[in-house]
Amino acid sequence: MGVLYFFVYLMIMANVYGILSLSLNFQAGVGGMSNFGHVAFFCIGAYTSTLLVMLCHVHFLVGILGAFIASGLFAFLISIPTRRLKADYWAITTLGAGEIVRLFFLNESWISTGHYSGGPFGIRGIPRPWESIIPGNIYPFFYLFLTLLFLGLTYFILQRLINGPFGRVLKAIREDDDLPLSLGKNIHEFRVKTMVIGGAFAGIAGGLLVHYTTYVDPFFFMPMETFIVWAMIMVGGIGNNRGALIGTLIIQLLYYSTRFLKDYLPIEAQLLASLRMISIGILIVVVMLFLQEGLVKEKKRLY
Amino acid sequence: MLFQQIVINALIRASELGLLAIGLTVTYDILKFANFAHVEFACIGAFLAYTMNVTLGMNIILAGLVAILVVGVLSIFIDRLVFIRLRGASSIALMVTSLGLGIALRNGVRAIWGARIKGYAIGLQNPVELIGVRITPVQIFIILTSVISMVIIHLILKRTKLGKAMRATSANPALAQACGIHTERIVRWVWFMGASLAALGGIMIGLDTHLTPRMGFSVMIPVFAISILGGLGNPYGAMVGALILGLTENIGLYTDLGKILTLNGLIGNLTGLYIPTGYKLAISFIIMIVVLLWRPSGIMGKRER
Amino acid sequence: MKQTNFFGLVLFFASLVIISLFVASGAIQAKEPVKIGAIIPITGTSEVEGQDMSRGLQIALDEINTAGGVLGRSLEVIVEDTETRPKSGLDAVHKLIDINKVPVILGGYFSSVSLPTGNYSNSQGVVQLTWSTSPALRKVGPFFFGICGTDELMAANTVKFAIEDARAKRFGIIVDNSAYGLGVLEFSKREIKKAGGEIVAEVKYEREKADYRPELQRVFAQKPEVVVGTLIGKDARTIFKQAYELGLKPQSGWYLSWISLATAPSIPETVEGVKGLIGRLKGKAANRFNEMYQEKYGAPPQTVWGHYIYDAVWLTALAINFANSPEPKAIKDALFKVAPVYRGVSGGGDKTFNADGMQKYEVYQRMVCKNGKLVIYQK
Repeated sequence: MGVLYFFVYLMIMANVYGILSLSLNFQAGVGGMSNFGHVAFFCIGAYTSTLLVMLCHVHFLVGILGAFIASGLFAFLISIPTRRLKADYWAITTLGAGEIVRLFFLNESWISTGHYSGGPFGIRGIPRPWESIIPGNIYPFFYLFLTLLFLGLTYFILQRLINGPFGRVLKAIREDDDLPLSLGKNIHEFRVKTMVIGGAFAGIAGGLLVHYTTYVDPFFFMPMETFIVWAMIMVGGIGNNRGALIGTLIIQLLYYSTRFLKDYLPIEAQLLASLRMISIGILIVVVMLFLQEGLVKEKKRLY
Repeated sequence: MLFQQIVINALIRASELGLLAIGLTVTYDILKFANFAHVEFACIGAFLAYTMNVTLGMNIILAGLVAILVVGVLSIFIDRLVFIRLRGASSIALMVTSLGLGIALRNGVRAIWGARIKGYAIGLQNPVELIGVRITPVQIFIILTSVISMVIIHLILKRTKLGKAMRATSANPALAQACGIHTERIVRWVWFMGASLAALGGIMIGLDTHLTPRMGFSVMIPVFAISILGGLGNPYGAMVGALILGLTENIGLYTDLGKILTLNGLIGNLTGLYIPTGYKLAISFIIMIVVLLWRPSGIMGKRER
Repeated sequence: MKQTNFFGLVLFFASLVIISLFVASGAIQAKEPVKIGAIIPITGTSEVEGQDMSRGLQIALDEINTAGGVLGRSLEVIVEDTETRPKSGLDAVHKLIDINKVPVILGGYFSSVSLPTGNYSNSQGVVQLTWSTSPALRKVGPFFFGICGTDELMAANTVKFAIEDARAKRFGIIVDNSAYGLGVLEFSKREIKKAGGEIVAEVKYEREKADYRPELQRVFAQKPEVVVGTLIGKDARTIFKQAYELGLKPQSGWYLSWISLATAPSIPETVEGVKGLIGRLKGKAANRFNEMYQEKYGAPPQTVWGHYIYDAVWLTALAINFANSPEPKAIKDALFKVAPVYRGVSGGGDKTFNADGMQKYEVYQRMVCKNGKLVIYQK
């Protein structure tokens, strides 16, 4: 039974990170924008949903909707002034924006739900949706279903966008600025839209994560999380959604399976932990070396 | 507290991070990607110097020099092993590869040297007082070393054939190749330069504070901010960026905004309005973003088209 | 159709094989040793502290197993790395509880890790002993124990110490920007205001930075008579070193909550004369631990966290033996019984729990740092 629960937990996390990597893939893979501050949207989504549900006592779904809107709004705010930056400048600027968001929630401890909450105290007791109706032993399965639903929704919507006219213009911008410009498309406007859509979906992932852990604090949103999501989409194959999902699963499995492998190795725990991280790092490098376009290549179409 | 002291503190910080940032920006200039593993060279260099200095009992300067050379060679080795296979790849692919490499290197250091805090065999430094400023001999050494290295970098870039070839390769690799420049050799030199500068910076941080396997990773974000601020690919920009970061961090936290807003008590009475210290990291980012709004390629970055 | 790379498929299926391997592993658990779990930040931000934890754990484990183990079986600890990352901490706890089925989990050094993991272990009825420091820990649940007096009240007593000892009126406060640090900040401010003192600077420092000079300049800008607060781990070392080099010293000295967290990693010369509080003293056991550590690893411990995990392992072993059962419920009840008689090596040595399963002291010991060692302070 325990094994099953563990598997369910693993899949819930995979779904949450799956939404993250789909949304990053939309911005980076399809829109060609190297966003290294994706965790900012994750963070804002998590906090928005938490605060809406706990302070305004709205339903979980409204909280998630709020997360969707708030992180989309934030994406709009940061992409307006920075939309003219070159890729590498943009990458580091977004990395900085991600850290500023984290520092904001770390230092502004009035954003809280009571005594000993907010800031580094974190926010405890975030309600799980429909927990009173569903018995505890089935609950993880229900939540798995819920996250899967949101993942499917994200996949469906983004896939529609990518294959539609919007996605075609985006890909054209990614390949070359001049062509869409000559067709009268406003590149900057398209970039802002891409950021907003991707950011908004990342917000959903944040909400889903914290309603499961029932706890959130700013240390959930260190820059490392963004790097991991990047590894996911690169391994799976940047530019297509199926690749992003497979990459998510693989990086997740890499993190989990190494925990189990180590149980059979007679090495001291200290060294083992280092070796585990080394092998994760090396595997990312190896995948990048031998599968430069990722596991699933982007389907290039001629129009 | 004296204002000079704050400037000196900023200078120490700028010297350490500046070396790292110059290394990063030099490699960026040729290889065209932001190397996330760059800061790990600093860490490896610092630990190699530690082994030679403390375990083998070598003089710290000698140990440092050897460590710098070893790290330079190591970086070429890594290039031959990993990055040479990715020459034509997108900069994002290169970034993510360097990310994975960084994780492996950082934990490699941890596996070899362990996580304990370490320090060089230089003892606790007692500060000397000069014009009302307290500074330790090691800190004077740090500032001097970094100034000298920057002069050397300047000479290499401007006065040598290598520098000229580097600039040519940076501007147009295909054309450079056509002109008979062996671009692969230039790439090797650039790796060597970038990594050894990083190692030097790492040793400086180690001299000033202490060594842990995360000493590189923990300065990664400021180092990136500096290179961007100055303009990616421009070593002089990195120097300026480092100074700006050092100064804003130190002055930013020290300045009473209330006094500035009220023009030192001319209008109203508002004192004790400081930037909360929790936002120290954000200060440099906000400066960075403001600068980029003004100049989208950094202070001394190359203009696009 | 999508073009799927061959290498990719191989890699993917290799991962599948690995996962099925570990699924099978749940079934082949050896019956013999009593297994408990530990989550330690072996890599990541807190890895310096994590190294001492791993070693403290090993020392305790060796002692216990030499002395005959628990329930006549040997005690085994499954160590998982939290990477100082909340999500990895959760992964680790899910693995320990769902797959390894341990009755007790030790750890969660960082409240960002110990709170969410504590929520899960508590919901599954698994005992968790943590030495992280956050006032929020009290509310986690009956299976959750704190062995590091998560006690911001100590901050109020530290301020009292400074007032009585130095007749201080002007205070600077510096705290670690963490849940514990913020609690200390809040209680220090309250106490200073009550006593009619003045707060001239209030500084929160971020962990794991190489340069704390700007923060120090800020604390000392208005020349405070005393500086109170809390400094932790390797950052305390950097802060004291840089303060020493800058010649920054409060006129009447430093007064710190949980002084051992700050002085243990620091360079002795830089912390000479620093005063502060620890929990109620109960014997001289801490020195015994330092000697054992020195003997085993050739160098003294750099932080105090090895002491805490040592106590956690011993308390667990004693509780298992006392309960005569490796069942979490029995262990939970037994912990309350064995803790008052146990003489620990961490804090002041007193490990008694209150009704919340937290340690809380009414009596604090005033200490001062002399030649790198903490001694009882006498005016």
